[in-house]
Amino acid sequence: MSLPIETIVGQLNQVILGKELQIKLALACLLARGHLLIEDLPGMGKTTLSHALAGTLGLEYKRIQFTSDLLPADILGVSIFERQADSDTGQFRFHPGPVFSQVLLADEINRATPKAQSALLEAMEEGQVTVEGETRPLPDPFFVIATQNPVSQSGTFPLPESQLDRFLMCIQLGYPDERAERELLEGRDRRALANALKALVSEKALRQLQGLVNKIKASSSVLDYLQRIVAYTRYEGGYQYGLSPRGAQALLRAARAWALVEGEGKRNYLLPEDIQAVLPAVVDHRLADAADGGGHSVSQSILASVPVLV
Amino acid sequence: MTDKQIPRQAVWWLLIAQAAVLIIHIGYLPYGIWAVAAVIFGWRALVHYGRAAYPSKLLKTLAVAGVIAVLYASFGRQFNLEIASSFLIAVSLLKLLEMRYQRDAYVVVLLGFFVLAVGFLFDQGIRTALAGILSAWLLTTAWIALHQNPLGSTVLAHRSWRTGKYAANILIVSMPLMLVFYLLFPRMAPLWTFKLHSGEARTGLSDNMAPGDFSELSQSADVAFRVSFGSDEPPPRHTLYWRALVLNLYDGRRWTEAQRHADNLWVGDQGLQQFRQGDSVSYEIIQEATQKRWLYGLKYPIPVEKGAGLTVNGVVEFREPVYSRMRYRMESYPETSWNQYFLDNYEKNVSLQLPRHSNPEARLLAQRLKMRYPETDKFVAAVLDYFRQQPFHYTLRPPPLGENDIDQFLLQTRRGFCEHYAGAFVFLARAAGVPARVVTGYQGGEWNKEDRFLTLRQYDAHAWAEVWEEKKGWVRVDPTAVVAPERIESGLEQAVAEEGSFLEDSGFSVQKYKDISWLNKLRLQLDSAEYYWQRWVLSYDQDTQKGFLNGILGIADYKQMLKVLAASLVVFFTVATLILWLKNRPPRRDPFMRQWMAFEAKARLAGYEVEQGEPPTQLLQLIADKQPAWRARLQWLIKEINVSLYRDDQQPGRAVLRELGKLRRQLKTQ
Repeated sequence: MSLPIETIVGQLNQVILGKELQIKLALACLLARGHLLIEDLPGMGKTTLSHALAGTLGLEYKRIQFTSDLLPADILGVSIFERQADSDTGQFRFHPGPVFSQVLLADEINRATPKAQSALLEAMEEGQVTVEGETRPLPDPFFVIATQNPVSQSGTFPLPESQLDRFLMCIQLGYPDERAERELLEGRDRRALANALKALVSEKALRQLQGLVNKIKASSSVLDYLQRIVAYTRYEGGYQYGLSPRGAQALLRAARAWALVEGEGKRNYLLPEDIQAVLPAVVDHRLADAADGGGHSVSQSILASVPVLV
Repeated sequence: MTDKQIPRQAVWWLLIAQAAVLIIHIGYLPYGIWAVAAVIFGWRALVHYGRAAYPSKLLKTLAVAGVIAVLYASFGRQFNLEIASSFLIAVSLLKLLEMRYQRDAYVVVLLGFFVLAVGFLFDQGIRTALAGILSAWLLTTAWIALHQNPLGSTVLAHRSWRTGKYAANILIVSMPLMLVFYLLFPRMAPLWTFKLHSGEARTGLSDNMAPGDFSELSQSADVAFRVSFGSDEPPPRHTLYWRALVLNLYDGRRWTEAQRHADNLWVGDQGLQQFRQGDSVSYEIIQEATQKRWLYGLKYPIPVEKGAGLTVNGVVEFREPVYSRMRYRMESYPETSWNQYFLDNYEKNVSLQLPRHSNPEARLLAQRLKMRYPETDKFVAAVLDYFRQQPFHYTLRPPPLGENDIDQFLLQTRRGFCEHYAGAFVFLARAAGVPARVVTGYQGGEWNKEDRFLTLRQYDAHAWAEVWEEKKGWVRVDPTAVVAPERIESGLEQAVAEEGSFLEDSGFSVQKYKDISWLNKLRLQLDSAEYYWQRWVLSYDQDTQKGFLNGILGIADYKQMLKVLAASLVVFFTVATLILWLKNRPPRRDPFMRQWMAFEAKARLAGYEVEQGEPPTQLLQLIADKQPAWRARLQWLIKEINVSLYRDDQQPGRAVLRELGKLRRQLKTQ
């Protein structure tokens, strides 16, 4: 069976120029049913990437701009009393908030107060929302792409470690290279391009892809390597605290999805390279030393210190 | 040093260890110190629970004064090792009261070790040794506990046992080192010998004899000495008269030893030659400390050891008092007629000496018998007959005797213990003009069948008599054997069974419960353990060490010995390091990994190097990029390794190993 991964990546590459690694990571994150955090300066194409991703996969897409006066109801929805026409009676009706969508772009999530942040993060963890005593399921797939500005910028409420942990990956886009930038300047407006993308996969095909992730085989050699990494973060690396068991699971899940994306469906087993590829995105934001911004060295030092074979 | 807190669970270990160290000193420590200890332990426990405060400076000063007062009350103004050690213990106990920080606890632990070592000055028996091991373990545990996380007090109480286990492991691992030191460390004779005990506390044979002495001594079940006859059976019980000393001076109440000039005292080599007649019995004795010079032997003993000599009285004396347990060999010649030559004028005079005007009735009785039986042997038989026919009674509770005690004993009370009979007999003989003397020592003993040794306890102490017969020399006469034959045949316990007075004053003693067979068996086994401990461990002294090292290791002098000791230490630590290394070394690698490591090493030499964290195929890819000719082979290798390791989850096959090997040989070292 030929998978549409190559075409998906190809189409995204046309919108976001010169960022193939980040595109593949974002795709892997979505296939692994994880949420994605994009951390970068304004204007680096965070929003465009999420637009393009949703459009290409044919998912319903909503966006919330987080601000410091955002309230939970603005995200989750609210019940409003509606009067029936020509009558004095009426009833409360629930107006779903933007959270009820397949892809939710939470823009500048660290601009909102912790109260608003936690309303979203609860939905991310549970896959459902409880408003006014009633529990409402969220659509499936439910994929949150949150963007945040570097913590050092003014007017931000940094996400605590426990909430960062909910994001499977955290990636940075970074400046485009010279050639890509030139192309960008010469070409059409990327946002408009992203909006015009056509869906390449059906919802069913997407579910199938997500199912394939779990079928990627992890051999004992690869699990040994993964455990060595985890042990290194806990006991040797000198980090404030190491990877949690959830972190270790996340690493494995992300690596599997990456194997699917990178192997384009032709390889059904994990290689150490897969773990290495997703390691910075999965681990950096989970380890304390990485949370102080610009901390790329964590995964780099892990990669350099933990041998693949012993 | 910083004022670090003591971890809470360590306090318990410290207290328990300190208490265990005290137990080693149980033999002499006065009651006052025990009371002080109880107060201090209680107080420190209350401090531990926050119910009491640490004592103030004034209180501490008072406590020191109080301890000194207690010691003064217990010992008086004498000075000896016991009081010194008691003082040491008392102040080390007081240290517990100001044990507040970690460094105080260090002092307590180190003091504990010191007090433990002092305990071996007093006793080195197997029980003390076991208690010492226990204390050492507890002290080590406390020491380790001092370094543990101060947080885990009650929640992690179970961790205490892990601490104990750890300490035990340390001690067990250090055992070989201990053995090496035991065997090889130069054993010097002590720089000084000193009297350990103040005397009255210790029961044992005394150098004189008065009525009542022996019945007092017979209340003690302490071991006097142990004898082994090698593989031989012991001689029959009724011949087992262990001679200690001869008492030939009588002052009317007390029998003492007449002093002889040294020139006439010792039997010379020539005498010893004549001595060796007939069959001999040889045996080995382990004697407890007596603070006296005499050794024990059967009639008549020749010491094999140097430093001991036979006197003309047929007893053996050592060159100095026996201050600590001693092991020596003896040879006895029961058939010898040598002793007949030993009645010089001096001895004859002494052996007939009696105080004037005492005991007229007894003198009369003796003279009457002598008139009727002028020959010595007949006279002796007649006196023994007198004891046999008159209603004499063997008892541990003799009535007190007044003046003319022998008259009173012979004619009125007629109840007595061995010293009464021996004394009265010698008096009668002397009154009849027959040279006679009292001999004291031990009689009988308990034979341990399993381990083949004889134990003599204080209650086996005995006194008998010797008379001079013209043809035969000194002849042993035991009037007790006539009155109470079972004393000689089966021992004191049987002899006084009816009276029920065996060890009646000594409180609890396992000796009393020989009827309970399992208890008796246990007692005999403990006894054996003690015997073997003395024989094989404690008696390893300078000479034994010399013999052992010379005979087994061929070591002749101290220089060599120290060299061997140093070498053993090196070996010990090497072996220990090796074991630690073996325990911690990485697991054995599989064939692929070995081949791969070799390949990697060679590739590094050839200038192909990847970082540690790179996947294995990265190196192959690197080579492939530089060596296009090998590309196909390397690609195949990459695929094979990835497929078998990561897809099939198994070791790469032979073909991969072979190919890796081939590539490795083809790589050119730069």
